[in-house]
Amino acid sequence: MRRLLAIEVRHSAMLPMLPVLAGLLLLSPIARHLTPVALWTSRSNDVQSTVQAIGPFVAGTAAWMAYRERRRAVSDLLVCTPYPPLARRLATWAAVAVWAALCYLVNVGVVFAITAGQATWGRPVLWPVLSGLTSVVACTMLGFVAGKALPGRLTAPLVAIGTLVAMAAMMEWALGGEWLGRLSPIYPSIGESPFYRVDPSLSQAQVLCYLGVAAAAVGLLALAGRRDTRAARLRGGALAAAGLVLAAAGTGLALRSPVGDFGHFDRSARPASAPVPVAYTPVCAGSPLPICVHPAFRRELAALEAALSPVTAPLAGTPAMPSGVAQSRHDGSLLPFEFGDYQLRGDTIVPYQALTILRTRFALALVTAPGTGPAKAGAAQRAVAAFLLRQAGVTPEPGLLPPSTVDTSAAQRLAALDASGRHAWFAAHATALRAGTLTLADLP
Amino acid sequence: MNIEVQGLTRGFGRATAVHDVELSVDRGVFGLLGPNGAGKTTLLRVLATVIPPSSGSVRLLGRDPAAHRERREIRRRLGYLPQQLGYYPNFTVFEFVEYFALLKEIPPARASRAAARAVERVHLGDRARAKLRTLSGGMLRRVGIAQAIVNDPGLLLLDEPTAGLDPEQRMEFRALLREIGESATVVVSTHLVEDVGIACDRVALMYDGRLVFHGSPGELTDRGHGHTVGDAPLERGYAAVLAQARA
Repeated sequence: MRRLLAIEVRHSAMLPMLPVLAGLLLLSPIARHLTPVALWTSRSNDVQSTVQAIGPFVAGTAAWMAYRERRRAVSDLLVCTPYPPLARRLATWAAVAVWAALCYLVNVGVVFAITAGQATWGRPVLWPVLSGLTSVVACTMLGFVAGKALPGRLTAPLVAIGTLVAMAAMMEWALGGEWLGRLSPIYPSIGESPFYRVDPSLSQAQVLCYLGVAAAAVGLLALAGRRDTRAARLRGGALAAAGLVLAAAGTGLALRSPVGDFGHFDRSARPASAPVPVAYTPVCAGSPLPICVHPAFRRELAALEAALSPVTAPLAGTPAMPSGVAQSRHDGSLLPFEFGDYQLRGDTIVPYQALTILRTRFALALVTAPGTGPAKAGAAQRAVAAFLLRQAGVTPEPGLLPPSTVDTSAAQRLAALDASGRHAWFAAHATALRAGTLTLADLP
Repeated sequence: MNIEVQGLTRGFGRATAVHDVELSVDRGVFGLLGPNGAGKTTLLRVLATVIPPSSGSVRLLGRDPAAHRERREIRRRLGYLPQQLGYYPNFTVFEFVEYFALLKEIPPARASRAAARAVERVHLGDRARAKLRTLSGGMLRRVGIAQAIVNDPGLLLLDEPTAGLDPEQRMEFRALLREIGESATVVVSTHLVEDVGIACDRVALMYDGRLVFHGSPGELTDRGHGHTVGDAPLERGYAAVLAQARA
């Protein structure tokens, strides 16, 4: 079998397709996603999602290879050899699967090598990688079975398109809240937050499911082999049944997995489930405003400091000046950021819009009590927040801080004060301002 | 006897391609003659275990091809060259022959050697690394013969093996047939009466699915005495038997 496989590997239709596939991967969203700041969790999900490019391609190629015997009119020659037909077909399929898996793993290697140079915390998560790998293998098997069952020149492109549509449809189901959609190979199967332990249950369920589907497809291939012996067909039937059981088990596990929409814990569906926090030591930088983040975001500290420090400049030396800023799980003395614990990434703060949102939320957090959302900020608080942003050269994000002539005039009054007058006002009114007891009339 | 056929009939739907054929063939080169549509290819496909007979019994190399285990044994010792040789254009000559050596369950350690020997026997040693898509029709035919003989078959079935070969290659091929025929049963289906006369010990003539003659080339020649159609004595015998069958 090994020698036969070696010949098949050398002549698999996957070989000339590899440059095309490499091009597809380079053009895929993941290639554009490789920003300087990286989380191992999100990169692990990213490599899994490359199945979207690889899966349809390898399924179509497998269907093409399955049709090879008939296309080349070699059937009579092959039939009169003693080699078991199923083993012969599996050798042809395995050659496609070997190249497909190799292509996927090389892509994983490249992405992880780049990530290793960027990530500041954590390590690769292998379950999503394994999920992607098994789904690629399952795609080749399903494509091969389709090519055998419906031999024809159009089968390969139809299989490729069908695989793409099936993946996209499952993704749509997932986005629509259908749990079955979470079995899509391109659905992120782990949570990306570095604050919580990775729950691989959905990845594991996907792996089981894909292995089951692949095994069932092999079984079907054996079952349908008219020239195979009765014993071989029986074994095929047993394998198909076992594969279906495995796939059903995977589906059941996916249903029970607490990993919900894009890795968030689905507490509403499974109240007993809760993410498990991980212990970490925050990394801090900046003066007079120390900013502390999870070590996974270490590389963003400088950008954060540059973005937030100017906003606090008028507050320096007053009770309104926070002792620091902490990302998410804060320790009481620090000002918490309430805008998500894992969206704070390089590619979300760099674009203008996201940076403005970040600064506007921060300005509102400076003048309100902890836990007060932007919508609950009072008029005086909004006016002071608008002042803090404008003096830092930032136009407030209109969705969070809508333009208001009243607020603007109050902000202008604050701006008109000299630095010592403003310092004195903040020193005297900071506590009341944050408590929300000041009105616009109380502003200078 | 390496081939024992009794009452063999093979039909495709309502058409009967081979009708009640009785045949016994032992070691040596056996020629199967007949016009187009006589049933030669169907008979060869049955003997090659590609298709089963509709009725009748077949024993090949002393075994029953209807039984799985025995069929597998037969196939290990079988060589077959179909009329239309399918091939994988990107394979090299050597790889294609080695591929079939492995499918014929020659141990991998010996498969390469067996493939190299078969390629040499058909005088393609210098083209062993050439892709099949680059070969001429005659060379492809020789590749087909190489894959058929790679396992030193006890039963070699060749359907129109000399089609596309030039006269020199045909002479070499006939010599090869005689060499293989010393230790195996070789069945050659052909239109070329000349090949049969030179290479075959025994010959059968098929017409309309039936065996209408079975004997030596000399006996076939004898049947042509007094017959005027045909350039060579054997051709006249062939034409005479066919005319009699048609009548």
